[in-house]
Amino acid sequence: MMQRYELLKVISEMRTDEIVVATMSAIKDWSKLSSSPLDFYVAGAMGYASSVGLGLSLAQTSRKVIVLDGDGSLLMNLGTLVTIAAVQPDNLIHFVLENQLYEIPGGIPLPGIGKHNLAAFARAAGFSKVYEFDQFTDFREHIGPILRESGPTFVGLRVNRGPSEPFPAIRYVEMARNLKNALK
Amino acid sequence: MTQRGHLICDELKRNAVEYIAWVPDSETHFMHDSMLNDRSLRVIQVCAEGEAIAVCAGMHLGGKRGVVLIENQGAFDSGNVLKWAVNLYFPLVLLIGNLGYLGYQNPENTPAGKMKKGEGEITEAFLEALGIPYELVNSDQDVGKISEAFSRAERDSKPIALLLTSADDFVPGGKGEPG
Repeated sequence: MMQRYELLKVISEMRTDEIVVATMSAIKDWSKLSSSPLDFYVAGAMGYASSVGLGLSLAQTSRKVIVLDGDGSLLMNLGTLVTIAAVQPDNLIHFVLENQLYEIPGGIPLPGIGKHNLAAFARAAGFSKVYEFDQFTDFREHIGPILRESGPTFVGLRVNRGPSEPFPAIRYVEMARNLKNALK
Repeated sequence: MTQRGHLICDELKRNAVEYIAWVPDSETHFMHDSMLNDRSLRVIQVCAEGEAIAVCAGMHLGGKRGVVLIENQGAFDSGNVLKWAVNLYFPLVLLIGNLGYLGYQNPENTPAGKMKKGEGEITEAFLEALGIPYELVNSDQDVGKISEAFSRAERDSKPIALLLTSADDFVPGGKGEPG
């Protein structure tokens, strides 16, 4: 099992001009690592970060889009895997941080822990590039080429529960405006 | 043979729409051939209606214009993501098949059950609760409302819904009872 913050730190250090769409618990860590106008956070629409990422990837075909999703979030919108695999955006990387919890409302276990596998869902949906990591050294060794290759790519990351801390205050409307302006 | 599908596609293109994020529905069956055969429009078929709203929001952020094409019952399923789009002031135009408005051949046996008397009313109440303005597109003459909707969405920074009714007398599920 890995620490979410440490994984996202590696991604943030390798990031150049990619758009990053984060949701739920990933927002807590990513907001400590980045203040780029190319960041966008999906809160209040749980499950839809990857759909927003798909729209961005279609609108910005010359730029990569990184989605930082959660397992509980993805389970709310599993059809997104089929949609993305059907559209085949070559600039979309879908990370799923799998803590097996609804972390924000208090660490409630997801349904079906140990019985489902989201990477297997992704493969079955039609993703041809699917990776799974549960060791930090393995992740750090392979993530560079994964970020550079053509997608769509699914990356499942087994992580521990994050620290108990308040959700950051985010100005979502301003963030949307900043991203839109940055992409003009 | 209805021309309304072509009229709507032309109106979308006049408003710089490049993508249609779509879940098929019976009420807008008349749109299908027109939009799928139009090489100037790219149809992104999604698995559930909420995806269509989020995909178009992403396109908006990325500087492209997509339009949502879904059924009213799918809009009901998408209440949370619609709320989010309203809260973030996304100027999305929602084409919503207004199932139930024109009525079924046998209104006592509709797939929506108790909604038979009031899909229209429920749809309107649902959109009003979310603060989403709406207009009815029920004739070829109404198609011009689409351009007005894009202007209004941008001016007011909010989603606008256009409630589309069938233009081809399509019977859901085929020749039998609606399914």
